[in-house]
Amino acid sequence: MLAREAEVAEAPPPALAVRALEKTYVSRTRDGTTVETAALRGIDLTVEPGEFVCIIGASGCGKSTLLRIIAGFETATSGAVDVAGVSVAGPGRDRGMVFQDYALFPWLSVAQNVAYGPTQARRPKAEIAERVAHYLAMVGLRDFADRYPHELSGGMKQRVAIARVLANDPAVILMDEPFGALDALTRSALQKRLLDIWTTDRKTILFVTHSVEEAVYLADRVVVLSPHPGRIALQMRVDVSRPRDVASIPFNRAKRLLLDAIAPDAHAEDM
Amino acid sequence: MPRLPRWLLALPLPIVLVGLWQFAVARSTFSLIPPPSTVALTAWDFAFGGIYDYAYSHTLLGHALASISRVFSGFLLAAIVAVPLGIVLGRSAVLARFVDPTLQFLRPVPVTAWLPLAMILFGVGPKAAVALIFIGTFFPILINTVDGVKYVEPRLIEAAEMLGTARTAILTKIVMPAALPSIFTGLRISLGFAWVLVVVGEMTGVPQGLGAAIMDARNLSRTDLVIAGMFFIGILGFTSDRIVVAIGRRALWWNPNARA
Ligand SMILES: Nc1ncnc2c1ncn2[C@@H]1O[C@H](COP(=O)(O)OP(=O)(O)O)[C@@H](O)[C@H]1O
Ligand SMILES: [Mg+2]
Repeated sequence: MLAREAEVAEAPPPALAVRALEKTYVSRTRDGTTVETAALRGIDLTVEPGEFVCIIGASGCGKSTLLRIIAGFETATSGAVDVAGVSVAGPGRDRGMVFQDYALFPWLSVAQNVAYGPTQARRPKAEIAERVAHYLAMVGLRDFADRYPHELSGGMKQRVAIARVLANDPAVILMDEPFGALDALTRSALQKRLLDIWTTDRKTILFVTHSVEEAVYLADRVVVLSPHPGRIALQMRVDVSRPRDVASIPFNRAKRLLLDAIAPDAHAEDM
Repeated sequence: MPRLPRWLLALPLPIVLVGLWQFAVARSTFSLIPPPSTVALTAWDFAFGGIYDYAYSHTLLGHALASISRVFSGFLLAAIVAVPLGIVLGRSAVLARFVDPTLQFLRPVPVTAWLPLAMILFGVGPKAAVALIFIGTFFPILINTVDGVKYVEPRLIEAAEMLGTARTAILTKIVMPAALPSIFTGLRISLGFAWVLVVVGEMTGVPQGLGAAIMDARNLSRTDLVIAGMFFIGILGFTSDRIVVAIGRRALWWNPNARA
């Protein structure tokens, strides 16, 4: 009994625990009746500290809904979300979100965007300046500190958005198809950069994508959602050593494995 | 090809228009419209004197200052009331439900229809003109402020929340800067409209003001002075618009759509 209690106390809580989560959207139609959309059903998901987890699934299967509930932007119909053992109620600085459309503050410079979180937290000025310099260098935008978002390309904006979240030091980083709007070259450059950052910082990352290749390239573990309603269809660990080479045989074997698991007959690249 | 300065490109059109004007009045021996040269002399005399030596010689400054002070009194009063009210109404659906129907009911009443009432309430004089400008500029400022606040991108608010912005700080940190372009649009439209209204307001028998000068000139059949007055109102309206645009550009340098 005593031994068991000690064990419980010692084991660190998971970075993220989603338990029995359900979400039903209720929307009103034009003639006044209500329509219910079952977006998520029975979602149980645990993410360990430092783990990189990709969620993959067809469009409309509830990936964004799941992320937005974890972020606290949306309330669950039932179920619970814990971050580092603490129950989530509403948005908070412990969960940083990287949106597909960047959501940078257009009236702030690149440096001011990155400084925004620590400034809200009233960190000392010197510390803020140091963090801004550190994370801008990390995303390769040191020379763009004084530019404004409208002067940047999509890929650069997304790097600012990533630096903004990193500088705020959240326990979990949530990314909703962050590279989905970018061209293929920029996308693969940013995937590589994100992995470099993750390798040095070891942040916990929950990353939504609809690309099988992106998931296999990035993730320790891939969670596959099936649609209508969104459920976890299967989870797969990616046992390919890093750095991963997308042209290598082990990489493509893992990709094949995942593709077969998702749709045994189809040979779809993207979902 | 060397790039021409922008103001140079603006010159040909007015030159052509004045040319057409000269051409049109010179062809008829008896014209009710004086030629540009006559108007130019009158305008000079109105501004600096030394040509005709009559009641309007060298009086432009007094009239202009009277009009300017009315325009900016009415406009600033309207801005001081309408911007905060618009922010509150844009943020609070409940308050908007209380106030919005009344505002939407008052809005379509043409502001000139308020003139008799303004004269009864404030008497014939500068106050009626200021009241008219206040009413007329109030709604464009209010509506643009409400819109700007209401349609702030929800993403930006979510981004602020996940970065740890206190609920009470969302208004000042996100909503107000995000709504600023729309608020400025309202201010700019309103100020232009204020110059229309000041002339209407001054035609009710106030002694000073460009509108009053135009009205008197009409009664004296001095069409040259009427046109000279119109010219100076145009100059003042144009200048005040440039000032608002310059302020807006400084405040909204981050907005790629604000390059007016
Ligand atoms: N605000 C909403 N109101 C009603 N239905 C919604 C809303 N947001 C999403 N849905 C529905 O929930 C389901 C899941 O959507 P979403 O989470 O955006 O999927 P994904 O991100 O995987 O494409 C879809 O059927 C979508 O139409
Ligand atoms: Mg989505």
